[in-house]
Amino acid sequence: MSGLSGKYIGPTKVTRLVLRGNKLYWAVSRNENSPDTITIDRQVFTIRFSATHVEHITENLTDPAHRIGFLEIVRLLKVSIILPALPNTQKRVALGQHRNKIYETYIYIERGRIDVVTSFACNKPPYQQRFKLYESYVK
Amino acid sequence: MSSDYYTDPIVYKEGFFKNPAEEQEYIAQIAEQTAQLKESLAKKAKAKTLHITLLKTVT
Repeated sequence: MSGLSGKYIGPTKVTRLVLRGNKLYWAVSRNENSPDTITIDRQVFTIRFSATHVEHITENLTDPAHRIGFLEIVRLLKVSIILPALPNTQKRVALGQHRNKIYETYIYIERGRIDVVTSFACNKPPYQQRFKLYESYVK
Repeated sequence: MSSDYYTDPIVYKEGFFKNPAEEQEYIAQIAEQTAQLKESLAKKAKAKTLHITLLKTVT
């Protein structure tokens, strides 16, 4: 898994504030090492976090299962598999590996944007099996 | 699946799943898909091996 070896940078790097409608979004800082976009099926998606979700992620950073910061979530999403959408929604679950742990990330996908809701260590065997199958197939 | 498995409460709050039962249903679907995928990948691998064996026999 490349791209996951970077050291922890933390939430202070989330600096770009974006206002869309009534909602505030914190976008991950743009630089060459961590561009906040991912490409799925030749479509480019911008990853962003709403203010409430940023608060939630920051508050839970001390919890061992939630010990994953913003830039790490962005890196994680780049090497994650995205499971089929939940019925009648654009809500999805992404599975990826970070520091030898499989994480499940809950995201909304729409109109070229990915809104991250939360990410935490996965302890559900079916999800783990799915990710391991993908890994064995890729290797 | 046991209900001991952890899910962040915000997942239910944001409407990803209405309740743990719905989540378990989705997880069961994923498990079923994984089994199917595994089977089809195994079939493909077997076909590839057979193809290589046949090529070796011909040459």
